[in-house]
Amino acid sequence: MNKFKEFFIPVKHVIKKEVIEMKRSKMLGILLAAPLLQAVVFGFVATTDIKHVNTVICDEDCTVISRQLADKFLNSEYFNTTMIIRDPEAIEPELDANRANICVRIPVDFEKDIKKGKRAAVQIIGDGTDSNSATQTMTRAQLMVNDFSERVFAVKLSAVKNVIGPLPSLSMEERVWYNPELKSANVMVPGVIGLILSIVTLVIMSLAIVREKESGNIEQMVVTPITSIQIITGKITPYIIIGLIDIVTVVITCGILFKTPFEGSFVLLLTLSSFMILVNLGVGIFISTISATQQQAMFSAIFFLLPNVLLSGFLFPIKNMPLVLQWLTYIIPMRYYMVIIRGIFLKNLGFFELLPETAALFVYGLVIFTMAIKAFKKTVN
Amino acid sequence: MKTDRGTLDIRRIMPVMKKEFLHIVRDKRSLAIALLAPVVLLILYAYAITFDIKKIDLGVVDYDNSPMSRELAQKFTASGYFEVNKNCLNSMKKCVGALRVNGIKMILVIPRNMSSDIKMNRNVKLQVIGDGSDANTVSIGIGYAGAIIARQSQKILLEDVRSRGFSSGSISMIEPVPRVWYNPELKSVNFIIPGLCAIIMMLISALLTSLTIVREKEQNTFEQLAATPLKPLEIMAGKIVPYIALCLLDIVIIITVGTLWFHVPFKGNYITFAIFTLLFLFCALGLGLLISSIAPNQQIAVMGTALGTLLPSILLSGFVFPIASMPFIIQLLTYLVPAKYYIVALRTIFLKAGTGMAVLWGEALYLLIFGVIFLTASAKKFKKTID
Repeated sequence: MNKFKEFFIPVKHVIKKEVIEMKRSKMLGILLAAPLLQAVVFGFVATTDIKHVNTVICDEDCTVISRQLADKFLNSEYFNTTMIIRDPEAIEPELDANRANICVRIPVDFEKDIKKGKRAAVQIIGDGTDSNSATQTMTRAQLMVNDFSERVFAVKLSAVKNVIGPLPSLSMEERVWYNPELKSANVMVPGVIGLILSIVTLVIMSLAIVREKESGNIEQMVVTPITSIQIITGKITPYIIIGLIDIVTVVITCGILFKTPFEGSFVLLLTLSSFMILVNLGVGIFISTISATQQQAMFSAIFFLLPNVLLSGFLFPIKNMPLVLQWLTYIIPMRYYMVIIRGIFLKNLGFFELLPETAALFVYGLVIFTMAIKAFKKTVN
Repeated sequence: MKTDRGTLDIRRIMPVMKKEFLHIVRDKRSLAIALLAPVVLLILYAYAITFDIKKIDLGVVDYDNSPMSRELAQKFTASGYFEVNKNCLNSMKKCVGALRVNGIKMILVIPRNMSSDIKMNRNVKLQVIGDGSDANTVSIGIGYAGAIIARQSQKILLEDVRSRGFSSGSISMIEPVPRVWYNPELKSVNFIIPGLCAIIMMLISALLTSLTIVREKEQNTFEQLAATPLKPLEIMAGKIVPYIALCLLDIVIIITVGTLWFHVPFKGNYITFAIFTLLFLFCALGLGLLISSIAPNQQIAVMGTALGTLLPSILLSGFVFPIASMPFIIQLLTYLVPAKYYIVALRTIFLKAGTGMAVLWGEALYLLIFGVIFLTASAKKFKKTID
């Protein structure tokens, strides 16, 4: 019991010092407000759903059927029809000037060809400049034309059925489990929470120790009887608590603002999030100990964060990446946290189902803290 | 003591520039990161990042196990959009478990009696289950599944009609024919370079310069500098010029690597490109200086610049998330983000041949106005601080 107290009393002092510095430099306020602000903005902005794309419909046929197809696009929330024209020459200037990003071109004799049973082609012209949006928009447009084709097909068929009798057919019954409305926000918002948390804790922590180095306090700390482990423990404790407070405020705010469903266990979320916070703090400390100036630390932190965010599965599915990069993602802590947070929010995953991810974070944390403490000891000596 | 408002003296600025330049060069790690990070990002975007949805992990539970059901399942694989998971094949329990832990994203359930029902001219319902926690993939995936099932349904139907001796001639297909203009291979890397240039410029000209100035404030060397014959604007100019040089070097690296290695097309005008880059640089610097004139210490400067420049430039500029998909209020907010205009201009310059200032004059004007506002505001704040 005494040994315990012996260890923690100096730690308490380091904590106090850190908190006073935070208050004095107004960082405390920022650490509590900034993640909230960022999460809200991100929540509004981050969507993988490409909607209201400016569309030009070029209807060269102007018949009942061509207008039906045009109507489909007019009524879709994915497409915002800016003009309906007849002359195909007018398409290029619209796309050139960024007034539209996609054009649906219905050819002459569309209705005639359909009635005669000939193949009718609908051109879908997309502006490939923004390849990510273009890919999605083109796919949706094609799916819509396919859908229209089926309807026309079905109409013809009922005519045939009146003659022949019943005909066999296949139909699809779709069911979406977890996030049944397929709302992009429900997927993005939990991801954003993880993202913001990581960015804030990592960047702030990476400045924490370098600050002492720059202002010369490190030498003063060295002459005290405090050990490296006590210093590090003391420094990270306030940030762990702030991180957890941040999670609570962000989850509640986002729940209210974006009506994000929360299916899982809040306690589990906090427990597993503390693992992630620790990993981030560990990386931050490591960066801090190997950097000479705050500027260098910040740069290194950003350099670590960039691939972290891009390869974590937050925006871009890991499955679509080349195999080599997929392997690389195994050393990215954010990857595991994305699975954890989305799993708890949307699928009510339990502790055992998340065990592989939790174990990965645990191991990562152990390794990074060992490295950080070693590096810190070296600096101090 | 008020200094005279004469022209800035280059001879006095040189030593400040040299000092700042030495600082930069001595910090080899930051320099390496500043020059390499854009290349790393280019590589990632070129090879890793795509929104194209292919090879969706699919679990198949075939209760019918007939040639017809197997043909249907095969069509899913053949489409290239799906990859059937062999581990949970034909076990609903395993498929559900796999769906839960992200092993598969969708499940196709083929009911018992599929072939017999088809032979009796009935309708067969195929269940397609999707994991909504990956809304993007599954939303498109369900679309693909629907199209594949519809096509197979048509095939079965037409075969049946023909087998009963009727002509299927009057039944046609409407086919969508996709055509992509300006970036026909839809390479992500072509699209990222403008955004990348904007981010790098924000990072270096806004973030770094604001740090530089706040560092001097923190270490109280400003007063020392104020005691020298240097005018405050000369101090600022001297500190900033090396970072501008670094910034422009970065841009050159990005363009060179992009066009030579990744074959990003550059159909437009180099002069227009240079004009826009300088205009945006002007803006980014202005913003950085403004924030640093307000921030009391480096930590706040970092957070403030990150929040005020970097984050909006990434989120609200149209770089990653399309502006048209955002809520209206946020769309209004994006009009205040300089990066948005730069990115639109650059994308047009890179991929659309023959477009120049005629199309982009609006963007240029915005950048100019923003730049002037930011720089005047920060210059005012600085004069106040130093005098």
